[in-house]
Amino acid sequence: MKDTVQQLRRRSKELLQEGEVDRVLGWRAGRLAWQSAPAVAESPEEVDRLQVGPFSASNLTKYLIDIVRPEHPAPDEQPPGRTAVWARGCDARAINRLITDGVLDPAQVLVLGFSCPGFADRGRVADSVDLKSADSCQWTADEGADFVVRTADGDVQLSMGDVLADRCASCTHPEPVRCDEEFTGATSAGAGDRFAALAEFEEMDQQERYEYWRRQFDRCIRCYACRNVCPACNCVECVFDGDLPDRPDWLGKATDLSDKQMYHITRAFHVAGRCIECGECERICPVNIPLRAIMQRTAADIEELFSEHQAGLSPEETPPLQSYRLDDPEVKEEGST
Amino acid sequence: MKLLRTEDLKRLLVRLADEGRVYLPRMEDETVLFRPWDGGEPSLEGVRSKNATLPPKDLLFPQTEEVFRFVANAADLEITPGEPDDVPPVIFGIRPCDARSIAMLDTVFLDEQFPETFYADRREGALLITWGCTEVRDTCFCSTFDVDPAGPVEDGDIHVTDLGEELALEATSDRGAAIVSDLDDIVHEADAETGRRIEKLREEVRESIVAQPPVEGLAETLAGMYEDPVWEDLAFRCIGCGTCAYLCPTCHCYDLDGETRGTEGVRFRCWDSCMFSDFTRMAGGENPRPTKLQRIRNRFLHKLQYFAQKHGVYGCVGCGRCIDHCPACVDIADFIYAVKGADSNE
Repeated sequence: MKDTVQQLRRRSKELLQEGEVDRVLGWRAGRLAWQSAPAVAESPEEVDRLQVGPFSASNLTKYLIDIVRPEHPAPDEQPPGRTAVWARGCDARAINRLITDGVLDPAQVLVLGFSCPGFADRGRVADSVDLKSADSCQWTADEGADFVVRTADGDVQLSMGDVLADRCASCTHPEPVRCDEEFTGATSAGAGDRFAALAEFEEMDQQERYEYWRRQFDRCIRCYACRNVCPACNCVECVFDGDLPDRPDWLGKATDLSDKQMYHITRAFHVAGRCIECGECERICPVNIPLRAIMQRTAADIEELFSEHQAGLSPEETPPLQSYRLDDPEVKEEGST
Repeated sequence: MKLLRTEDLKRLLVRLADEGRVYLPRMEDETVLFRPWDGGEPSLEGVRSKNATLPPKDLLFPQTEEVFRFVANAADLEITPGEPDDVPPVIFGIRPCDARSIAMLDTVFLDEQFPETFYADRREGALLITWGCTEVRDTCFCSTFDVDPAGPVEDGDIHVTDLGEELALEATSDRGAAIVSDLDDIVHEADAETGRRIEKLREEVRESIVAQPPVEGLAETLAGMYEDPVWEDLAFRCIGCGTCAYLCPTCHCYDLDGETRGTEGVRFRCWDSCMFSDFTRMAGGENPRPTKLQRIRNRFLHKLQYFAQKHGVYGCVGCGRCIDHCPACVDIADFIYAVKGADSNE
């Protein structure tokens, strides 16, 4: 992975130097060993701070939206130009999502793809390392380990397989499904069981499932982090942003259980068939609501009701719930046209 | 200092239940939340975790609270004020940082001239049983703001130190002293050896806080940084969610909203977050803070400059929740290091 990062940096510098792109999106290390923040480089010098680390979890695509569609453009706002993005499977699928949704023009982006090594779950790493004493994390080429956590008491070698985030374990597309240039040589997280999170629900009857989800949603604080981090949530203005002068409040600002359920059900339906399965919603939920299970359930239902489908594999896709076909089996059964 | 056998904790809670409704941190789906005690044998898993996921702020300042109901007929208007729960909360296991945050909420809501009556009603009877930290997170930096993670702290009524098999109790208010004096049949006096052991434990906890960003003169420094490029990097990263504000024990901004059906309706108060794009949007659509940069700058300046200028203390207690949970690694401690030109590794 170390080599891949070097190649990504080298190419990013060239692209900036040659004026091929206006900026490069990647990640950078933070104050704490597990912090890896989204970052932008606008000059070759700034590229040196870009990295891909074992904790570079954020899906960068939301930042592309900010670039091509600024929230409050200045009067002298320059056109967004072209942005190079370091992209794994989920980032690349999210870029396809934005193109399909008409948010992004393919000419505005240059995808520097790399095969994803998978990302580490902070809690699992904390089981092996006291993060208070950790200074940094680095990839290693040493046998039997993928990365090293440098601590005040010495290095701790870890294998990604032992600390892999659940969402990466169930990833089916670690390779960049869309890219302009590909940087290989990285290890891959490997094809996982896409619907792994659903297993535990199969044992529950309807009442048990209802009680389970009631308890989960009851914890929701309506911080909207799951929406704001989601590449499929790319509406210019969200129906849940209240107090619009010319629109009714679809959802009260009060946080009772029915409002919380309404929010999550609406979001699940809106994202159904469009979710690119990055799992960011679940990673960032501060109260640990297993949001990925909801998206997996809708994806499994869509496969059952329509056809095999995974969102974001191509920019030309038509999401199943956004198409209408006269030969739809359901239409035929009812004998209507 | 009195010692209570940990296995007798339930008997302490029974006594505390005389004072109000007892809440304690409970582990629920890997999330630690203050929940009402059910009267049974208490689980220690929540209170022994490295602090609750959400602070107990909502027990005094609920996320949603009815202000009044109304019926408006053609002839008259009938208004029924909302009534806060009249059973005061007994918050068991609140950490020193969160206890300090309540002192800060008091500063805001118990203003002499304009007290916030709903908050004041809840706060008046509230009892705080503080719990000294025995293990800190890597995101903790409470000592930066003169919070002692181990205690005893003066922001509550009784301070508890966890010694494993035993819990050390110290009264930190007159009310706390009266309660402890009622416990003679279940507690015994700590000997000098235990006292030394506790002091050693506390010193270790204090030393384990790694981050100590320099805050001296910070408000003054920030006063000259309104147009500084430092905000651009933060604004770039921020995704505009409400995680930081809603997890923050000191954030206290709220909105008044309502629901009306026909001639009846309810007006309620609910938490709001200055990171939301509609936070400052006014009727008619005008928004004085239309960009993320303006919003995140306001959040940080409110905590680290305006609050300090107005109340003499920083509006942050260093609990580290916003650092732990920010989806984009926005880190207020790192921000302070950067502003003060200091190195976090020193």
